[in-house]
Amino acid sequence: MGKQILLIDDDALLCEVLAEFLELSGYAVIQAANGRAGLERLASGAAPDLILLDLLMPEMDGIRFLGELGKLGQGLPPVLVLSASATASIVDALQFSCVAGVIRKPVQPPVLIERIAALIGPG
Amino acid sequence: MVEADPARQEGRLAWLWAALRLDGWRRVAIGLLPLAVALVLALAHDRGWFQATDRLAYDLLTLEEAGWPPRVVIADGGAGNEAALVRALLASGVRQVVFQSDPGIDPVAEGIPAGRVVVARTVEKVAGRSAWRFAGPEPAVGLVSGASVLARAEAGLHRRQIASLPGERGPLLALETAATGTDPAANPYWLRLSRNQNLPRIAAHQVLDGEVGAKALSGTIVLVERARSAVQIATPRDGPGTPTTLTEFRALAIQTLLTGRAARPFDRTGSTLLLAVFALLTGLIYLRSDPKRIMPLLLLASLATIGGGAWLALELANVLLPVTALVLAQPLAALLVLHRAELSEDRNLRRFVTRTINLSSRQVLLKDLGRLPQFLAGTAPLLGVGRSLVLEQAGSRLTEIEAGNASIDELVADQRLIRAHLRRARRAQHPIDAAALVPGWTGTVRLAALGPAKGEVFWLYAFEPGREHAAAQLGAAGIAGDYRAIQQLRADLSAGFDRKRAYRPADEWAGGAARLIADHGQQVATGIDALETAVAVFNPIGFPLHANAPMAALYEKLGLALADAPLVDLLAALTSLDPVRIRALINDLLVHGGEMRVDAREIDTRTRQVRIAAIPDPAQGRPLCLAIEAVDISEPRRLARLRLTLAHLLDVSIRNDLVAIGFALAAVRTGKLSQARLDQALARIGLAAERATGRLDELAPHLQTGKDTPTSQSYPIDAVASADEAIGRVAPLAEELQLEIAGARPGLAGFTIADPKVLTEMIEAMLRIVLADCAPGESIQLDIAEEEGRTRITLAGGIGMAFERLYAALENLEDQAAGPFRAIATGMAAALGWGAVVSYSSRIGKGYRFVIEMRRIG
Repeated sequence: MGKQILLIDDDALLCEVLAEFLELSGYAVIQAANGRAGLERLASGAAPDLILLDLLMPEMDGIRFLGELGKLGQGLPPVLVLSASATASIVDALQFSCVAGVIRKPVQPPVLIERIAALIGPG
Repeated sequence: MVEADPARQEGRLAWLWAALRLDGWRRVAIGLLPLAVALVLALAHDRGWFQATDRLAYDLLTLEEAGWPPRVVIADGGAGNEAALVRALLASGVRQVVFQSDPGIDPVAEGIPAGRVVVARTVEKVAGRSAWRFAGPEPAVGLVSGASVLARAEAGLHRRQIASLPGERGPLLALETAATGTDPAANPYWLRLSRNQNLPRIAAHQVLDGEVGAKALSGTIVLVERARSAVQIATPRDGPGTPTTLTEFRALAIQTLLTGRAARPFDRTGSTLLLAVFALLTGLIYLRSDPKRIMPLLLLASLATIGGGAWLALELANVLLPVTALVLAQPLAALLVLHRAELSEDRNLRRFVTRTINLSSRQVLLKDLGRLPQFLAGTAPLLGVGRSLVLEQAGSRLTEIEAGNASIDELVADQRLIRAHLRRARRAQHPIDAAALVPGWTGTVRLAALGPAKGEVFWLYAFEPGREHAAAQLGAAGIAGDYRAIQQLRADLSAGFDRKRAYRPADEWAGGAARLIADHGQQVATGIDALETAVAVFNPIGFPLHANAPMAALYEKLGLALADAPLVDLLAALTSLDPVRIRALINDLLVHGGEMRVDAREIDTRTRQVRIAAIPDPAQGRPLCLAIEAVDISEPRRLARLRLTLAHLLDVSIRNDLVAIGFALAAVRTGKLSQARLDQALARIGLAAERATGRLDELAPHLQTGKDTPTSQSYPIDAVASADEAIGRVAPLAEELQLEIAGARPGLAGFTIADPKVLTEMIEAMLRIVLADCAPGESIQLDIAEEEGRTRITLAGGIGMAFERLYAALENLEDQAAGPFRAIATGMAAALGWGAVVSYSSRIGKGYRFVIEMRRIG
């Protein structure tokens, strides 16, 4: 496996499908059900090349996750926001320097792969 | 002795009135008026004013009636054989033999029973007394004397006969009375002069020759006409060539008396009572029915009743009813009752008109000229009137009643010029040009007559330069016209002393009032009371015309008086607008028409939006009235929020499902999946599709279309404040991105028409888009400028995107419009309602440019 992606989304079915697709596209995928779980993965040593982040999640949503992520300091992976929410929250997400882009759901698989590849290279 | 109890009588009367369901003027109408008619007619009847027509009625009723079996026979001839004739007649069973002059027989000597022969004798008046006595020598013993008299003709016609005359020692019986021994109920009495009455004649020689059967004349009275009488009298029964002789008249009198059919007029008391009852009944019938509709029918029915009643009275009681008076009583009573009713209706209508003006028109401040200054001071500025002078002309003296930024001293000294202008203004229907009166005033100067008070009142006014809109001029003319109309109507209503005006028909009063009310708003007429929302209608210068029940309740909650509170006060209480903005708002509506919406303060936990609309009057080219509608939007807003939340949830959930399906399909299409993983992927696709369908089913019931939420509002706002608020909201982002928001935002004169919330959100969204698209250190330009009647906000900056993309984002919400774009699109749609225009442009490398142009007032 090549590049690693941390996929943070509370929709288990979506997570499974996305993970499988990304894996088929050559990426390794770590899943987390919300922002807090994502931070825990990072804290436990995971070093993803990219974080694919949903915004609306229970416990810790995407914006709060980004805030906490910013506190971790330099060398953070780029974050690609994948959100269905309309989108004051997207604008808010744009305030964070680690956010590399926003993709609004539903997104076509080739577009997602293209954006990921643009950020971290092909899988 | 039992005394009458007034209380009990009153109780009985009350019961009667209650039973008749009559009250107030109706008692008077059916009581006093018909009684008065009855009394007058009874008096006239008693005075003989209706004698001719009553006799005519009598003739009509009697001339063609069936004749009775003859009880009297005329015997012709017998001169010289009187004694033999009498004996023969008596032998034939004759009851009495009547001679019209002394027969010269001695009953005692001739063996004729005493008292069976009646002889007509002339009478003479006893000198110095009111008594009569027989004239000439006394007849032989055994003969009965009867006065040869004839009652005076009426209008040349004989139909009456005297029963007796007052004699020296008791009544002196007339010949017919003496012959029949009958005392009629009246003296004189009326004969039955039927043309069908048979008066048999026999010749004396037939009796003498024994040609008459033994009992053929039994029970009859024989009136002997020894020589054919040349005396003829005129009676109603006379036909052409068939006059009535005196003998026949006497025979008819005897026949009348013998058959007991001597008629008489109804006595005075009876006539009066009858007339009273008849008139009362007529009045009652008219009041309990539709008089105009039943009048012809009732007239016919009444004539038939009178005719039938008169005939019955004559047949059964030999009484002639006061037919003429009865016939007259019906239309007279009806006329008076109807007239009384009309007068009463007129009064009611007049009261209604006054009430309508005072209550429905609600011209509380217009009710008297004493409050005119207060009225003008508050309202004229709404129309842009900068100088105002109310003058009163009493005789040659001109005084100042009220001045607004003006003084009577500014008038020219030329009194003739002033008087000429006042004369012209009084005659003119519309305000006249009066610039010559006040040379120091600028702009359009007008003089209008406001109507009569103590003297004649005039309004001299001038518009502020630049505010002489046609609509404002029409509005000011409208004030003057309305005021004059009301004053005129009020003067008319109180013109009881003025003959010409007092007799103006009520329809005209009502018409005038209706026109006046119509001038103030068709809404009143078309039933705003039926509306569920709270609605009030104001005249064009802001005073209440009408408020429906929900609005009246709202007034009460706001602590406002329905009758007095002008529009400015109502809006100040309902909304958070200050009076300056409210006046600007009203002025703008009056000049430009249209409508504005303002969120109301929360009253009794309900959320309302106030809609202020100018209802145009196409005919006059000025607003007919201003309608205020307070729409309760608590429920629609709650529903809207629910719908938005559900839609959002649906959106988010379905997007996840669609993403899941899309990626699972993409995985399948790679062809890299094992059969097991392929099955798993397909199962996931099915699961996602099923989940999406389930969500749709679950949410569908909550997404039923409801009432649209009237959330868009517009009213005079401070556009600079909205822009500043938007800048404040994005300030943290600008600071983080190290961007500056520059530009000119001077304080603006007047107000901009917009919804401040939507405007602020729209500017904020524009700023966010441009900020997100700027390189650090750049600045964004946000300018606000005043133009002629417009406020222009221009926002420019950023790198920019292809115009097509910006257009797609702003015009196609369903696709991928993110929050700021959606906010702008929403703002653009709302701006149309304010009369504003939002335009935009963008080119990569050239940046964005957003322009918001809104109406500006003041």
